This record gives sequence, C-alpha cells and structure tokens, in this order.
Amino acid sequence: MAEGILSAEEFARNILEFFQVSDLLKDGWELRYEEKHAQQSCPYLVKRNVLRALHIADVGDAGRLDEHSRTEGAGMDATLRNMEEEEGEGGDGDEDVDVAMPDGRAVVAACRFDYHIVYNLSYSVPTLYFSACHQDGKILSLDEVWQSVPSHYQRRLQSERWTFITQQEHPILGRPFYCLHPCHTADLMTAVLKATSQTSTSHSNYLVTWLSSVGPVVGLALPLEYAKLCEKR
Amino acid sequence: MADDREILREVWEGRIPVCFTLASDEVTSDQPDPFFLLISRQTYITLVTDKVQKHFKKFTEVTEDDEMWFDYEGQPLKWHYPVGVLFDLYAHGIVLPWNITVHFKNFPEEDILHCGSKEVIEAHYMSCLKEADVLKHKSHVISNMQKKDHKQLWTGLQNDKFDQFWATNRRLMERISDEPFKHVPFKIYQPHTMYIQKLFRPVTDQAEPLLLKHLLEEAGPDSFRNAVGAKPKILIQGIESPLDTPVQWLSEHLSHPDNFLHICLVPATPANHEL
Repeated sequence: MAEGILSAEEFARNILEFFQVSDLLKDGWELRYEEKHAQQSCPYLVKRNVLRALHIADVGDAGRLDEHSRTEGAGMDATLRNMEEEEGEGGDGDEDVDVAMPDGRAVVAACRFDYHIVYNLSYSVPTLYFSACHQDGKILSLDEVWQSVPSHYQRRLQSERWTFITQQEHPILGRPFYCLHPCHTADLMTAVLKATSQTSTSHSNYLVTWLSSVGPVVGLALPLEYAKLCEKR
Repeated sequence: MADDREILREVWEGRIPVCFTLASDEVTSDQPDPFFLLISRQTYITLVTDKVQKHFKKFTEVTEDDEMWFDYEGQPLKWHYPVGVLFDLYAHGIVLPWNITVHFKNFPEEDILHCGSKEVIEAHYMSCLKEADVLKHKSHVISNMQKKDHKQLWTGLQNDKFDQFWATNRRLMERISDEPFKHVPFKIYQPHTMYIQKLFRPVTDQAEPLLLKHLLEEAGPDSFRNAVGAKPKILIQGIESPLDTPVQWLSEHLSHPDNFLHICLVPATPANHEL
C-alpha cells in the first residue's frame, strides 16, 4: 500500500487487536459492526460518555483564546474519567489554569463526548468522529468545539478551520457528528511513521500511532498499555 | 473526457419549482403568502434561500440563535445533499410544485447539519470535490490546481455559471493518459436509510467498461438484488438511465458539480408509474 494509508482489511485487523487491549483495560471502547452490508461488515470502535471539563467563553470569541500555563496535550480540560492515564496530571486541572478570556465570560462546562473510529474508504485511513454535548443534553456548537481544541493546535485551526474539524454526517449512523477531517491523515501518518522509524508494512502500529497523534486534539487520551501493539515484531 | 457538451448543459439546467410555506405553528402575525422559487437541481438549498428567510422573518419571531431549516411532509431536509437528490429521493413523481415547509424553531439536531454561513456550504462542497478527485485521480488533478481554480468551481456553482464552472471542471473530468477513473465517485440513496458509498472501478481487469447494472449489483443494497415484485426506480439527475450505460460515461456526464454520481433508488409506486 502507498505511504500513510491502510487497507480496509488492515484496518479491521488493527481494530480487533486494539479492542483486545481495550477489553483487558476495560477502558470503555465498544466494538461494533456496520450491519447493513452482509458482504463486508466493517468493524468500528465507539467510546461513549467521556466527560471533559471545558472552559468555554460566552459566545463571540471563538478561537481567540490566550495561551495558558498548561503545556500538556490535553490543553484546557482534564479528562475526568480515565484519570489514571494522565500519570499524575490527574483530577480537575482547572485550578492552575490561567486563562484570560477577552470579552466573554469563561464558563467551566462539564461536557459529554462520544468517540467513533470509522474507516474511510475514499481516503483509506481511519477517521475520528465525535459527538459533544453539555450536561443538559444540548449539543456543543461548532464554535464551542473549536474553542475546546487545545491551545497549541489553535494556530493550525485558525488557518485551516474548514478542513480541520467540521460537522459531518456519520457514514454509518447517518446522524450529525463532529469530525476530524481525513484529508490530511495520510500525510500526517507518513511523517509520523517515518519519524518513529516504523514502516508502512508494520501495520499493527497504524491505529495506535494515528490515535495517539490525533486523539489529543479532541481530548482523547490513550493509555500506555497500547504501546505494546507498536513494538516491532 | 466529458465530450457531449449539450448533455452537460441540459443536466446543469435542471430546475425544480418549489413552493415554500412557513410552519403553521410558527406564524405569529398575519398568514404569510407562500414564496415560490425555481431552484437548480445542482445547488444546495441553503445557498439559494436567503430571500425565503427574508420573506418569512416578517411573519414570525426569529432570534439570533435561530437557524432556518426545511421539511417535506415531516422529513427534515438535509441541506448538504444537492436539491435534485432531495427531490428525487422524497418527491419523485409528485404533482409540482414541491411544497416545502420553512422552520426557524426546534432545529432537528439529530437529523441535519448546521449551516451557520455560506462558508459551511463552501467547505462541504470543496470537501466532496476533493474526495471525488481522490477516488478518480488519487487527488493529483485537484492538488495541482491553484486556489483560484477551486474558487472558480465554487463561484460557478454559486452563481449558476455553466461556462465558468466547466472551464475548470473539465480538468477534473479528464482521463489522465487515456486511463479511465481509478474509482468512480458515487452515492446510492434510498429513503429512510444512510446512503451507500463503496469503491468501484469503472473497468474490468481486462479494461472492459463496466455498466450501471454492474455497479448496482456490486454496490447496491441487498434488498435491490433480492427484490420480490417491482424493482425500484433508479434515478440519476431525475433521469432513469438504461442499465447498460457505461459507468465511466455516467460519471463524466451526469455527476453533480461535486463530481459525485448521486443515484436514488425509489420504490416504484403507482404514483410514479403514471409518469
């Protein structure tokens, strides 16, 4: 296969290996199958009800949030569940966050995220879909989602916002979800696989490598246990 | 290469007469007049309905947070599907005009995407276009275009300018070194279910052209293959194409401006048998 991409079969293999680790960790991933097409039932992964405490400005200042003191990838929020994975960052990190919000009032919102990992046939890469809503069930607006992206991705978000995270129709469920665009994934993965000296033939690495690269953009952390899938065989 | 320009122009000029009415539970003052619009099959409904919004705002209370949305017989309309696709899928065979209800309240978050600005529509359109070229040419053609070329495609669509649009789009319809497209971009729609999208090569390993019937056999829903009784109608741009039409030809001539073939399978009911 060409650089940076993987076939549907490889994706399915990756998913099953990933799920085996997840099943041991009991970290909340569910394995699902697209039931429709009896001939090729494609597996996908779902992780539901991940709580994130987000600072959201009160309308208007989407994306113009100042840099703040935290340097760790999770940015402005702490993933409240899965705390053990954050290696001591733990707990609600808001207290040492100094966020200056121009104009709007900062509100700490407890939001619920669901994540779906689905194979994209056109681009031959995995795609990350997510839904996000407030505690009262109201879905986050696109602006709020953009604001929740960690500060060190904000510059890229500004320059590429319409090809980075947008609302899309979920390819299996047909409902609106937010989506990390797959169009840059192949390039990203070529670079990452090269930098970490993995080749595109050691495909057991792909899904974990991909998720550990893109997950932090949307608050999805991956426990270290998954790294064993990346060991050279 | 799409060499039959007359067909391209006829497809481009497909129109649907629409009658917009404000949702009765949202009318706050006098009963508003309905609003009529002749809409291109190729466009997106939220791209051409500013006047509709302006007209009905006078008759209801609209706040800044409200976003206009549409339904047909209770079915929220997905603005990100081309107008022609929505019509063929939900209203094929009806007596015209197409009666659509306008809403400003109770946005159906579970059913349709938000469309906060024209940029959202442009981003969606460009995203579809890029995906189509990934499938056809491994994105070589679109990646080698300049930003102004991308813009020309969008403005050609937005302003309904066939010549301007096809001046650039012809490059996306080209066969590189006389090779057919690697894969044909298509989506198969049926009512009340998510569309089907699969990889499909337009030729066999022996370079023989594959036909519409091959595509439907390969990628169509199981129910299509096993249908007992009347087979569904197969509509592309509102037309029932012969099943022996080569898929490469269909892709070059009957695609929407996003370079996808949008194929609607609708039940053959008595209503649309009469046409």
